[in-house]
Amino acid sequence: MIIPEHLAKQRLAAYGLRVPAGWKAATPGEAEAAAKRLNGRCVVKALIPIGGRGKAGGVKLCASPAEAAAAAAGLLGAQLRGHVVNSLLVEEAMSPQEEYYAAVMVNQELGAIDLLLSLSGGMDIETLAGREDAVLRLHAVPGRDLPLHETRAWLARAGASHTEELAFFLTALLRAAADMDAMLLEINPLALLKDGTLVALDCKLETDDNALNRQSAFQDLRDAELTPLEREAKRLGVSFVPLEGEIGVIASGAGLGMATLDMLRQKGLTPANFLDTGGGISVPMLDGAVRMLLGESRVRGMIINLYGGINRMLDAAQGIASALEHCGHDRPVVVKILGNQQEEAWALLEKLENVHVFKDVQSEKAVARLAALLGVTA
Amino acid sequence: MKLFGIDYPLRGIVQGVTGTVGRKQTKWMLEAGTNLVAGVTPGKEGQEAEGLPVFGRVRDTVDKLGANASVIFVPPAFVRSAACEAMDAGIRFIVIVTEFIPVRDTLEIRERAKIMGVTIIGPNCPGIFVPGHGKLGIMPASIFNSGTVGVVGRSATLSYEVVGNLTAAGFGQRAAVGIGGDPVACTGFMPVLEWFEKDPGTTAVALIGEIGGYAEEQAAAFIKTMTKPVVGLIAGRSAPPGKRFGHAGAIIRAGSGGPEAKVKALEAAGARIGVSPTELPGLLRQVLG
Repeated sequence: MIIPEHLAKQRLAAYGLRVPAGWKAATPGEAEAAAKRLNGRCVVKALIPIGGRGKAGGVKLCASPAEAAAAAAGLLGAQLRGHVVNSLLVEEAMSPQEEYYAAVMVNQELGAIDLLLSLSGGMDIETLAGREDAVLRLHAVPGRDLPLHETRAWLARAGASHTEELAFFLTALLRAAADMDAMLLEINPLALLKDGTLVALDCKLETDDNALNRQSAFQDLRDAELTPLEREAKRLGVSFVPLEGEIGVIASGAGLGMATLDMLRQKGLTPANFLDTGGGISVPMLDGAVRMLLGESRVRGMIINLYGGINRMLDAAQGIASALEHCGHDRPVVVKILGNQQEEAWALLEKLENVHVFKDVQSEKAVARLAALLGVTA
Repeated sequence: MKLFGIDYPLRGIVQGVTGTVGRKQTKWMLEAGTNLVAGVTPGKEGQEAEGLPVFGRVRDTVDKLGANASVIFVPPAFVRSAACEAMDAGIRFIVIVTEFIPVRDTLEIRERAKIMGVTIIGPNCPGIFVPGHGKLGIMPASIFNSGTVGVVGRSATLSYEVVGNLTAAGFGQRAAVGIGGDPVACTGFMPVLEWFEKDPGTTAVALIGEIGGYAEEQAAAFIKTMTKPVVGLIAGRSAPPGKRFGHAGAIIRAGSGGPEAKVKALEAAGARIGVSPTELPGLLRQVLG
């Protein structure tokens, strides 16, 4: 998940990394008060989780509290690159002598932790990324701290100035990224001030969802930002992605689920969602999942594609039956079930009205049947 | 004898054997003819699970019973420790079935495995099934038939669908390996493709990829050098970018992970790529002549 800038910066400060003094503001009045504390001169930033915020007009340099209030009034409620601005960060304005780019990221390709540094600044880092000469890249060993002297040697080889400050900053950044289970921790720009100190002017932090159990602060944040459907999906223990179409989809496994979406498209049907039960199928899970999907009036039909390897199929069938009893049998439901307890599951589902049971390994046949039932041809 | 990274005679153990899933899957592995010798659950030594003795430490199963492979079912927070314990005790082949492991834990496990020369399949994977030799993991035995096609995939249930389609069409399997759906896998497609390439019992390979990451592109580089034909499939062609589809790894990010690049790379390497699992038997018929 993406951690809001002000929270990410609070965490960085705990590692001895300097960040601008700043306050969060949700009204022009709060922005004005924050600007006063900063003696007037300040930067007002939209708190939205996207890159290119400055270019989109989301960062305003202000010379007085009144200007800060006016900037806040202009930004709050505005839409920037698809995100509505609900809150702001008011920070002390800095005068960088130079601007760098620094980042720590999980390198999926190589299975390493990468430390990146660009001394050419980072406004257009995406275009610089491919240039070996512009971006320095160090593959750090996963699970191991990078000793200061190694960072120092790396910087010296790369010909960086201010080696001492940068070495400290980058070593601490790497440690912070490890502790926070960061997939990406990006400082852009990293400002070098006249006195030689380095300040993280911006901070983009994306953390590992699988590590939320050991990052309790982020866990709470996560729960607060879920939509009602996402909250229901979390309660049920399923992986859920809402889509635009009209066919409800339930699959036991991500790959099978994605393949099912692909097959629907091939047959001229549009998926209303992606829903992966994972390996924890229970009666309440399937009952809740079917109810959740059929609760949407745009859903005209449903396909349920399950393999009983780690899951019990009779539980799945009972859950489906219980939900349909509640939602009614007005829309066609095609169910492909294979694996353990398949016979019991088939017998139970075949008794239900408007439920079509498939016992064949080819999911396509089930999808084709659903298309025929809905009168759709590809 | 070494077959697909596993030393035979196999003497397997199950870490997390006393949990609900571990116990049930142990039963099914035994029923599939797998030679398991023990289970491990710290604090439950002396008990019995599905007829296997339970030990508290992996080291004891190696010292007393000559254990040489392990399947891990412990909860995500304990996987790093369980895998390191097994490696330190001398186990050289490990399957990690558990899902939802923090990627940094996976990276640490992977790094240690590389240094110690250990083969680890997973995490978040169904493991390996070798018809006639049993299985380490959770693949359902009922869908398999002994034959000469090697199967390697990222997704578990989609791999089952492919295996089921192959079996129904008369193509038996030499082995199936699920490398897992996480953004970082301890073993990618490449080593598995190499096993199949070198194995005299394999005539062709079916590869099941999906959107996200770079695994298929890396596989393509090796497929170029293979003498055996490869057919395949990329799931998630209709997935919109930026959304995470169940597997933490299945996400299309700006500039990478999209289906077109993967299909293109695999086809350029000589693989025949279908759109759905149903097409794979037909493609196999074509490449095997």
